[in-house]
Amino acid sequence: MKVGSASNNQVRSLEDALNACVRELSTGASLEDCLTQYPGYREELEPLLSLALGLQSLRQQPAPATLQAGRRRVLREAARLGRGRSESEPRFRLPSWLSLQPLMQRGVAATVLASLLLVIVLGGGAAAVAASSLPGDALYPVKRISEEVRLLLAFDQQLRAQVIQQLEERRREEAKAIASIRRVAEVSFRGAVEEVDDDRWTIGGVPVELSDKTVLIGDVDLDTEVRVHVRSLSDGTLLALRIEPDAGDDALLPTPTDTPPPPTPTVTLTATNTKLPPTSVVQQQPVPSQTPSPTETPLPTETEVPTATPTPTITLTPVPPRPVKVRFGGRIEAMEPGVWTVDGQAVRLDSNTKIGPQDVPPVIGAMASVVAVRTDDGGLLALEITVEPVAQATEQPFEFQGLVERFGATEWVVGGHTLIITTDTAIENAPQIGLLAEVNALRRGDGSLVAVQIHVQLPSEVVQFEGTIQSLGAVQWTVEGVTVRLDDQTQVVGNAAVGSRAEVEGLLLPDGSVLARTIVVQAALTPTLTPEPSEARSEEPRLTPSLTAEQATGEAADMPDPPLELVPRAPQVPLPARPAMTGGAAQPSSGYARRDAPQKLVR
Amino acid sequence: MQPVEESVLLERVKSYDQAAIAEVYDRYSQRIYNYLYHRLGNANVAEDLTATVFVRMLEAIRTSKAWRTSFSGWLYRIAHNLVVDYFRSGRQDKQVELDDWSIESDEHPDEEAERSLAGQKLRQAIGLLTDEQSLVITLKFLEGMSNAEVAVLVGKSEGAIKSLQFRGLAALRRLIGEQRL
Repeated sequence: MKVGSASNNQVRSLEDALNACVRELSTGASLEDCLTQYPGYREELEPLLSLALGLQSLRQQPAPATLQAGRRRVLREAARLGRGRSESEPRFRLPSWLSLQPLMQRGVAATVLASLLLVIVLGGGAAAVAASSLPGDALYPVKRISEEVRLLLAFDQQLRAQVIQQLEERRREEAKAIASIRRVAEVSFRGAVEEVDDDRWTIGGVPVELSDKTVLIGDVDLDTEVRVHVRSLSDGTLLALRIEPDAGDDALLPTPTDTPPPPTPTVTLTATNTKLPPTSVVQQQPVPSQTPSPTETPLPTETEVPTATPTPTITLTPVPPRPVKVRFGGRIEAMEPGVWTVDGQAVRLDSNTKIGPQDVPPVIGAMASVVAVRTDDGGLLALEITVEPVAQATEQPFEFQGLVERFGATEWVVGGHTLIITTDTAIENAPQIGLLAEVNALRRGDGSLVAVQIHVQLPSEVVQFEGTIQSLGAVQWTVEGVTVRLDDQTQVVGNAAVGSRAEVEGLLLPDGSVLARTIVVQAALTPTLTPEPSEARSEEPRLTPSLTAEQATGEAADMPDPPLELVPRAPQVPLPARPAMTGGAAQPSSGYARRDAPQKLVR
Repeated sequence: MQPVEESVLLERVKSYDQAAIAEVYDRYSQRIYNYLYHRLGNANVAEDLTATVFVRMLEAIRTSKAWRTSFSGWLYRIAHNLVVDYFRSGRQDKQVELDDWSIESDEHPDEEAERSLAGQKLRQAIGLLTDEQSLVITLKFLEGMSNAEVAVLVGKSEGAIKSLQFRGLAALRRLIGEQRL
């Protein structure tokens, strides 16, 4: 019975046709033009090409990104992780737009000219509009670039300090503005911790909220100058993602282990000769260094603090680096002796690590909050781990769709999620790997998922193709590069062997594999090896002579054509000829034994 | 100045050479951002996750879980996993509308909304594909790359890309049903 219109062709050819059409569509050809070229595949190609066109309609130039902040974050992380390695290598590379020393080497004049050109090109109109833009606006990157230009052109120390101060103030205003219009965006700003009310803090006049995900680095107290990275949520909340002490523009300061660059007036900010307004916050963490470290220009704040002094204090005495405290929380994912993994981060434990509360035994899957310090090698050493009782965590409903990847009596894997199957789990329709399933589950406190209901969607599209058997397994074959799945309803006619031709009729699964209903096998290929008959006779028939690990796990379909591996067989029993097998000639069978069909079947 | 050979550069990255890491970031961050942007439809989150991809890269070097074959393919897989985590976390529910719609559109608002909905559905369905399929579908159709370009980026043969394209589209069609886009 021929059901699919591609009955006499192979799926591989359909792939070729699809690929050619996709290429032509991208050069402007119409869908009809493509379909006309492949009338035999029209029915199969049309929905796939319509989908391809739908996907292409989503194609747009991505919104402009300011990836410089991310670059600084990555380099800071690299500096931290790489600490302790060779000191001869450069430790820290300043962001290019702030790295004044290289600019001096390359020629400030050229840079300034280029920057001026940028300003001119952007012109008054765009620049003016950009000036009022906020994070998330299309012109916001323009605003940031113009700020960088301003900073580059501020050669005078005092002027430069003022520019930095204005820019910091602008960041705080932006944070408040995006919160007030309830825009979801991220921004970082600097300010003093003015108020701490449980998880509601006020930093530089900006109220922010902390959660258990907030990363708090170092010792932060009232009046500490910090840099805070926030995400504004759609309810107008500014959620603090990360808070760390910040004695000034970190990009302008060397890291504690850096070899300080030669003193350059353009990068050293000295507060003593500035005439900026007095600040109320003067306590800063000195930057340890072999030479006197540059110190920040203090920022004015609106909050009056009794300890305020009219001039900033500059600490030049080097002190050893203070241990950096890190607080984070998450699920306990692994518990090796001396090392746990919490929320994806490995943290070491020693004899001083406090684990509590005592009546809550720590288990994998439980939620925990960790207070740790950074060690010299960049790792984390836990000071205190507080474990949340698993039983307290409530079950959360979790619904999703996904492909069935594995199924068994007590456990399924659907769409990458492992599901626990209980006697109460309602399963609609027989499962099969590759089928789409709608899952209604409960996420338990330990993170595991218990399936409440699974609805397996049955495929309806019937396909038929013919090709060479490349691998054999109890529940999965590879035929002409296509993964063919077998279940208890699959009928196999003939003696299956790697190298034989087979005609497959079945249902097309969402993952592109075929759930076979009928497989008709022809004769095996001509052997390339002639084994000793005596050895061959003693050999047990093997059903999966060339099944690789990947093929066995269903990955073969996405791999390039695997080489055929033929297993010689001794007793040479000719296979019964199958007349009128469409599209494939019967192959000689000499040198190969008949192979018993591996499963359920037959006629 | 000749660009540094990638293999040499990556060896330096494994030594936490700051200049090499900066160079790698400059080479790949825009591509990773583009991929994340197309998967998420949100520039701010895509920016944040772009940096996270490279931080994960640094952490993987520490734990000797770094790339073994195609570096760029490995980076893309990290990005894919972050997208999956992002959607699983439900954080997208707190985000505003996808920001890549209705820019200077002449469409009727109803049609535009319908198209937006279809696009949103497609993005979510892409997330249900295997990581390799979703990577190929995104790079080919949302970013407009050729098979050869995708093959280089993900470290596979063009034949494998062709196959992934077919299976990805077939699976996607199943996932979104028979409706016209």
